[in-house]
Order: sequence, then structure tokens, then C-alpha cells
Amino acid sequence: MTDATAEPAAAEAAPTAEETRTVHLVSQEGDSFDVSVKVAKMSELVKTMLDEELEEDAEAQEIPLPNVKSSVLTKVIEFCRHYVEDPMNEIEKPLKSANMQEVVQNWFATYVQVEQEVLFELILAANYMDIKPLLDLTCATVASMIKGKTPEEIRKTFNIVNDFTPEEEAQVREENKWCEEA
Amino acid sequence: MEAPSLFVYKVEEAVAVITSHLLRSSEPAASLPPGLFLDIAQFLTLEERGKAVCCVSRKWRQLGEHNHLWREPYLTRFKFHSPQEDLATHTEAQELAQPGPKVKDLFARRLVRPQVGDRVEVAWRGKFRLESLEIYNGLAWWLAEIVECDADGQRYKVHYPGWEARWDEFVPRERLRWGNDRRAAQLRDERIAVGDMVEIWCGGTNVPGAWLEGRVSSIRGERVFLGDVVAEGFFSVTEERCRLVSKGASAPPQSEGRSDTARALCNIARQSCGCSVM
Repeated sequence: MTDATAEPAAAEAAPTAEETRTVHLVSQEGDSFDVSVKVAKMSELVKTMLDEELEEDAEAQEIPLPNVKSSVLTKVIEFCRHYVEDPMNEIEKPLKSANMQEVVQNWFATYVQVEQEVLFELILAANYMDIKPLLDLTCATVASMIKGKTPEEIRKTFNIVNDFTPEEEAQVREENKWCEEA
Repeated sequence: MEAPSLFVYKVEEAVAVITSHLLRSSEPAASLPPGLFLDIAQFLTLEERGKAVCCVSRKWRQLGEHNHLWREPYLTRFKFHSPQEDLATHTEAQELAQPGPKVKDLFARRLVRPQVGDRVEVAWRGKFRLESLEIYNGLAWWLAEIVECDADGQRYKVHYPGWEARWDEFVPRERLRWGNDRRAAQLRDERIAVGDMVEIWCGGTNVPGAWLEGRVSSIRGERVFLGDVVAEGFFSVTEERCRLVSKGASAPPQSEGRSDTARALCNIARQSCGCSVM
């Protein structure tokens, strides 16, 4: 898979240099993804690697992202492309609802309706590429899976083994009772 | 194999830890990435962090008690309560900067034992006039500031801001509570129903006043009727003057602290403090 994605044909009325210039983001597998500089700059990591001195007609720069798989990078780029057109609302802390539809715009809430494994891969990629809004969105999504649940329900959700002894568990519950007033 | 140290802040290190963690695990989704746990937990309330997250497993407990999750809430919650003290020189702030004590424990201790400068509310059951209209005998919570406390945290001298110092008094811990603002904020979108506990702000324009609490006995149109508030007859206010602090007929009057403190608080608060002000 090379140059798997292309910029949308219909550009803005007066595209800026950032919108017309492209870079190649190269995944772990060596696949190259063409994105506009504007989209690529959503990643602080990519931003620091961009050579701003490049001539207008220079070859598009290649940015290696050895920690990101193609499947994840595709998803990350999808987020960035949408975000530059329609930025995400700031997500309220703490979450006011366990339903992401009530927390963030519909597109973003739908975007994170993925398998848990994919969600964690997105968190890692967002962290590595330093994309704050994507990290916020994905972390908030995991938090929404914790919110309002009992410890036992959380264990089920994330497939976690309860390694407390019954005495320890009783103690830790007692210790944390006060938190309802915090 | 034991997971590496979970207390990793630097992004590079965190990534290394998480990646190695995930690579080792046969099911990546079986466990949350530890280094990014803090980013996730910041979207949860303190109650959720303590009562849910810390009770899941030993590892989750270790993560949920991490100082990074509690330091900021602590400073936010209490900083305005110590206006005279520069937090940088405050001994407790120095304590917070050390790796030793758990901020979560300090938080719990501070809630049970307020410190000088903390803004609290003092239970007062007695007759008082509300805005020169009627006389009530309900339980009211007066805004106050702690000016002295004894070593064992049982007795506190409180000052009522805006009132002369001659009103300052020593009260037992049981008559103090932290305000209900957070709880009221959580319930601001809920409708008030019969049986709910509500509070009504009673205050002059120049001085801090008190929250009068009562249980909703009936609702007629825009007016909310409260039981237990007047010696005789009926007492009602418009709905917009009430703030909801707890839902449901079975809910006990809300109070903070540990459950035994809460119980004691309710008992003492129900004793007449017999004084008339306003």
C-alpha cells in the first residue's frame, strides 16, 4: 500500500500554502500517507520534524512514524482531517455523562466507537504523535467506560483480575468512602 | 513479569513503558496502559477515582492513588481557604512537594480536620428572622471561617465574615460542614420533587448569611413548601430560591466527612443552639 490516501479534490476557494503543500507520513510498515501540512501539523511531533525552510517546489518531505501501524495511522489521519475542518469541543472534566454523544459532537463520538484494542492503539498513537485533542477524546472515551460503574463492572469491562484478598477489598472500599464528599 | 515502575511522567518514558507493557501482554486490551492512566482518570470525578478506580485491583489502586491525580484537586479545593498563607511557604505545600505523603490521604485528613483559614459552614438550629419577614426554627448553616483550632481537631473557633468579632465562637467539629456547593451543582438540572432536601439562601446584602435546609413537603405551582422550618403554619418559597442538595424521601440530610462524623453532625445539629440573629 503506497500513497494510500489522497487529498480531497475540492479544495477551499483560496488554499493557503499549508493546505496545498503535502508531506508523506510513513507508517511502521513503510506505507506512505499523503496529507496536507495543515493536517499533519495537528501532530506536535510532526510539526517539530517539518522543515519550514523547504522551497515551494521541493519534494514532499517524508516523516517516519515507526511506532504507528498503517491501520492506526489511517484512523489518526481521519481524525486530523475532520478536526481541521470542524474542531472538536473541549471535553469537560470531569465528564458530565458516560455517553460520549452527550460529551462531544456526534462525529467524534461515532469516531471512537471502536474495539477496545483499537482505542488503546489510538491512545498510544495520539500520545506518541502528540495530538492533544485526539488524546483527550480517546482518554475521555476510556473514562466514559469507567464512569458510573462499580469496581466489579470495571473489571468485566477491561478484563481485569481482582487480585485483592477479600479483607483487602473490604479495607480499600472503607478507605475510599470519604471520596463521595471530595 | 512485574510491570516496570508505574510512576512515569516523561512522555518518552511513558511510551516506552506502555509499549513494552503492551508487547508483553498477550491481550493488549486486557489492561489499560499504565502511563496514560492519569490522562484517563482526569476525566473522572474524585468520587469515581476513589470509590471505583482504587477498588478494582492492586495496580489500579496504586494508579488511582497517584499524587498527580490528587495534587491539583487538593490545591484547587483548599487554596482559597488560606488567604493569609502563601502556599509556597505553607508547610503542607512543602509536604506535598515531597514524594512521601499521599496527597489523597492529606485530602481526606483535611476534610475531617479543617485548618485555620478554611471556609466552612456552622450548624445553627435556632430561631432567626429571615429577611425581616417571618421567624423560622429550621436548621441553618452559617458561612464561617476557621480562626483557631485545637491540636486534636475537635474544637474550632469560627468567625462569621462580615459580623463583628464578638460573634466569634468555639464550636465542636460536629457542628461544622463543608459547603454543599459541589453537590448542588451536580443536581442543578434535576427537578425538585416532594421529599427532596433543599436549601434556601438567607442573607443580607452586605454580610454572608446562611443556608436554611428543609425537606420538600409539597409543591403547588411555583411555590415549594418545606416542613420542619416554621414553628407553626406553612413555609413556602418560590422554586427558584431553592437549591436541590439531595434527591428522594429516604435520603438522609446531606453532610460531609466520614459516616460517623456525618451521623454525629446530624444529631448535634438537631439540638437547639438557641440564639437569635438577623
